[in-house]
Amino acid sequence: MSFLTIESVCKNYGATAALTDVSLAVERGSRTAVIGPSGSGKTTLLRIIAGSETPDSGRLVLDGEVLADGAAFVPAWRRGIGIVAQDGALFPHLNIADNIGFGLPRHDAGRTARIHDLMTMVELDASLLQRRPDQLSGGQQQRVALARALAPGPRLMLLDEPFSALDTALRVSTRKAVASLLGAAGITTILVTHDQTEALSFADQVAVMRQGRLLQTGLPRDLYLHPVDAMVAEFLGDAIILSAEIKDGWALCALGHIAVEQGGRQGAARIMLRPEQIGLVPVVEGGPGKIFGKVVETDFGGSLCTAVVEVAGAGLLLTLRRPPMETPPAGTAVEITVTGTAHVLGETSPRRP
Amino acid sequence: MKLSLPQLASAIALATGLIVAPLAAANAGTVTPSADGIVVYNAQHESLTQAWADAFTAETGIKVTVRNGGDTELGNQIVAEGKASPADVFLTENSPAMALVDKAGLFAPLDAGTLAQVPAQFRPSSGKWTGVAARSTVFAYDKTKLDESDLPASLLDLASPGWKGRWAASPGGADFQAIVAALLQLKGEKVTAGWLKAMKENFTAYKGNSTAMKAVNAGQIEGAVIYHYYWFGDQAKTGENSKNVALHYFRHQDPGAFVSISGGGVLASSKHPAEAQAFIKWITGKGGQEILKTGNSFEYAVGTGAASNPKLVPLADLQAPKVEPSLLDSKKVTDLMTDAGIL
Amino acid sequence: MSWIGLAAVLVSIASLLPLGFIIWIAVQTGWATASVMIFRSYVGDLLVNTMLLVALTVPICIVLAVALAWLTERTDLPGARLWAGLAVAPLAVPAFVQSYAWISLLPGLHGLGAGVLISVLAYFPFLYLPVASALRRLDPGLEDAAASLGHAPWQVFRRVVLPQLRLAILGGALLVGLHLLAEYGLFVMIRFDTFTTAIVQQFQSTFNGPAANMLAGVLVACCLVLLMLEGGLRGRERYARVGSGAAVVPRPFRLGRATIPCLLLPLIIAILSLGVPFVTLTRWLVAGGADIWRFGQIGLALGQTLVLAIGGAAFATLLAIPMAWISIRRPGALQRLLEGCNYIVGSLPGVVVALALVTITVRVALPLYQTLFTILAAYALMFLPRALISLRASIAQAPVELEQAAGSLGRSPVRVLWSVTMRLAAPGAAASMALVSLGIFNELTATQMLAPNGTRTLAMAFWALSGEIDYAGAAPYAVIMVLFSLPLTWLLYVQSRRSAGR
Repeated sequence: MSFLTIESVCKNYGATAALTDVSLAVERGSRTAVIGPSGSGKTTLLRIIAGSETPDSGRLVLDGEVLADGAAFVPAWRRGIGIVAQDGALFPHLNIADNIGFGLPRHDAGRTARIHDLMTMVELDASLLQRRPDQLSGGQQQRVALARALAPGPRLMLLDEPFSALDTALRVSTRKAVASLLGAAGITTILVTHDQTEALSFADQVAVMRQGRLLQTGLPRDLYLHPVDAMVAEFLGDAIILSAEIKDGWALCALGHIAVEQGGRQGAARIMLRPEQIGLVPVVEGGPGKIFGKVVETDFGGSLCTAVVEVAGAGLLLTLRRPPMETPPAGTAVEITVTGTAHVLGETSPRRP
Repeated sequence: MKLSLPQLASAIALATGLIVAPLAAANAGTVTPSADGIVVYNAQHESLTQAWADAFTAETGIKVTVRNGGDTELGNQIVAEGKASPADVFLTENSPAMALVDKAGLFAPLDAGTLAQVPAQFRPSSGKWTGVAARSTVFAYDKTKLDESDLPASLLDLASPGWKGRWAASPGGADFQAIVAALLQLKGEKVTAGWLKAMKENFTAYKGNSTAMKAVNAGQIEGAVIYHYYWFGDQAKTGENSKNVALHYFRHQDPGAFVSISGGGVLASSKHPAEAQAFIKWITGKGGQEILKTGNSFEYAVGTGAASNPKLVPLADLQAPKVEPSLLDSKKVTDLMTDAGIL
Repeated sequence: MSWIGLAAVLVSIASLLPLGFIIWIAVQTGWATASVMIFRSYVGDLLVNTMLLVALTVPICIVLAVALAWLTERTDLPGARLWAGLAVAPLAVPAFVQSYAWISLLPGLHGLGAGVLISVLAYFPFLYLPVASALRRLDPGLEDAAASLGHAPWQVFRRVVLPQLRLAILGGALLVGLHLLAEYGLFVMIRFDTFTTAIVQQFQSTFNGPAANMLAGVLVACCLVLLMLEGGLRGRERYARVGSGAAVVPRPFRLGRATIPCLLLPLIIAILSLGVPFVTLTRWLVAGGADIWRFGQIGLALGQTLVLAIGGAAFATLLAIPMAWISIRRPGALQRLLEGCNYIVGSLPGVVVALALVTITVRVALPLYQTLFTILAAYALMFLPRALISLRASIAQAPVELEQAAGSLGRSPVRVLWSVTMRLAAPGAAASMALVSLGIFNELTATQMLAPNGTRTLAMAFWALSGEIDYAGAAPYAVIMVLFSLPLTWLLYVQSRRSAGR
């Protein structure tokens, strides 16, 4: 039995379906990322887990305790689930120390020591304790929010896009720090985000949502390489989707013959390649059995540049992001190579847990 | 509300004219407030003065603008305004405020014709102002609670501990202050101060004599020191606020039998002395005194040969003490009442 | 600094006249005389009365307003919008009309208890409005966070919601307190003596005698104490919302079985604050029949009231423009000082302002005495802070870039202010005027003391008639005051909802 089980949860707001038949299992001590575009229902799911919302139907079980089942409902404040909100949601009328100590018993002897420990844990200086939240930077606020949520020792931690308000560099470092902190504390965590890099790097398990439905759940690598459909594929990164004819483990498409994974599907299908599988080798002229193309446009972008390649004879344009030294200048004739296998969409991952 | 737009518009136009005019006059720097009538500082009941003003205007074509207020408020105001007062005529309910303005030397002598219309007992010998009406002090009591034998024989009795919490007055009004002024003139400062001190302990304050009578009628308090005409006025309407109330006249030249004279005078600073004199002459004359007899004011007429409303106890039967109206001291009275903690 | 700054300074200096007057009178009277007039038992009684009144009314108003605001804003109370409207509507009933309604229903009503009851009913909307609007602005994420930290709903309310309503509560409480100090008619009707009723009584006995002025001095001291109290409690805290995330729409609290008892609160308050005046007025209108509708007099009074209300509102708004502009475009020490002046004067009771202007005009500025200008000036001083509120908000929304553009095209700052900023801020100016005219429409004490000869406003006529216990005759005036105040109150309500961003 999983640590947290969500079974067939539905939630409607009037005529709008926010969640339809969502089921998800989260293992103890794991980190799960729920990812989806805005309006996909991921925040609603989080609020239902937290207890800020009640599901219309479905069950929610945490560590053997039924949190919600039809009409039965454990209120948020009795769940022992911590939240870190997008903007931190620090109490503006309290200083940092009181924010962190909010969930601790007020007359507890070890309170001050615990607050200091937590400050150390989130790598903040104790001198900030007497400040007001609005005197802190965004990154510091998020760390305080995390310390506050950690203080009472929650069974489950919910992170609601906690890094989205931070700038890029800070986002990565804060995310890493938070991930290692939660991992060290062994706290089961659910992260909601619309940023696929964040989801893929943070989580043991990724769940992709769209329009209130859970499309696919799995290991980050599986989801990236074996998305169930084009939407999931494109949501998790750049993808090249091609129509193909499958035959005996090979796909015949605009890029020639490409090996596909086992699965035994035959006939017309759509396949997916990640741009990093494509190689561009400048050539003088084409040869038989090879696929050639021409770089029609490039865009210098620093560490990652963009090349648009027109595949000869196929009327197909590939947009590829790659390092500058691997980006031939516009007008270059190239041979297009494919490494690895193509993923046939509609087929589930072979190693799905 | 049924107010047609034209009505509303004309009302606004009229209103604008009325309140912009003084501003315009002031701004123009001229002191002639045009020929559009006289300003009356009125401390008399608004309805009575309005009735006088309307009839006077109808008869003479002289317009009358009324500013309403209390006796001493307007009296002191005229003193503060001095020669610059916009008032042409001052009307009061009681004499002290007239005495106040007179003492400041702000009244013009009244026309001999006016003085001739009012018997000497109802006006000061100086001829600077005249009585225009009169009213009697009464003890209005709850006849369902008090028998005639329970009533105070003298106004001074109300200071005794037996009357603690049982009687009412309207101390902020000029009426009651005039009664105190009479007491002061008749019995001296020591007695008056002592009486006021006891009164502070004994009485309940109401705003306005009507309100005090209403409280008696409603059984909230047993009696009230007020003037006679509130009872008659209410009886003439519905009697709703006086049906349980009877009037007790103190008589016997008691301070409580004081008959207060309402005064009228023309300001020396008046820009329209002739019109102002005509107004006082008119209200002390046949037309003005007739309104006292027939109207709803139920005040006593004071003009020579003028009859009061027949429902009233005749003035001659009231056995009022002799009081010199021009010597009633409102300043001293408010000081004493302030000292006693009543004001 | 420019002309605009100069204008703001002049307005502020003028606004200090009443305060200066009180000090001047105190100095002139001399300490010996003044202390005799101040330290006497009657003043002690008044002080006790006034303090008890404030100390009882304000907390009751706070509890009532917070409860109503929470019910209407945060729960699934049926008809919440209706109850919200009904919680603001009592503002359309002038306090003395409220008192008149109660006194004609229960003629024996008097004293402190009655004062507290009627004051609460007349003034609690001043607290309800800011509290409801603050509740709407509160980030429900904070409440979710507190719940996730193990706090039961009532603990969340006490430890998270209430502290954040503090500024709204303090501001509203100050407003209620100042109104209690300034109110005259309400308390006279129920025979409850406060400083203001005593001042008016002294004025009626002695015109501008020193006793009235000394009482006014004590009253001013009371106002300043309230201001300082509020300032002290407010402290330096500004509960800026931290972060920029989109606020979640709060999930309404499910009342469940408590719905019916919870409905009783707004229902009872609506019956007491609106039902009683409605029933009483209807009763007097029916009893009075057609006779009480003397259209000539009523129309005249209405016309005069409108002229005063609109004129005063325009004047106050005009005077507020430089002040508002400076506070948005040139904030700083000077601006705070000027604003402080206006604020203090705005908190002075009408009776004090009127007393000052009567004495000043009659002694040193006689040409202005009893003129339309003086009474409009009094209104402007009394209602300047009201005019500032909406004006400031709308000037803040007029982009400064437009002013700069106009300036770069060679227009002087004053012309820019007029031709650009005020055009854009016009809706705010209109709201300012509406708020001020609502105040003037029902003003009694200052109007009585300052009005030019022959003036008889609705409030004055109502007061004179009800004073002669002609309650039926007074009813049409009361009805007209309420009817004209209703749309202005509605505007206030809408504006408060809009400023909350929803």
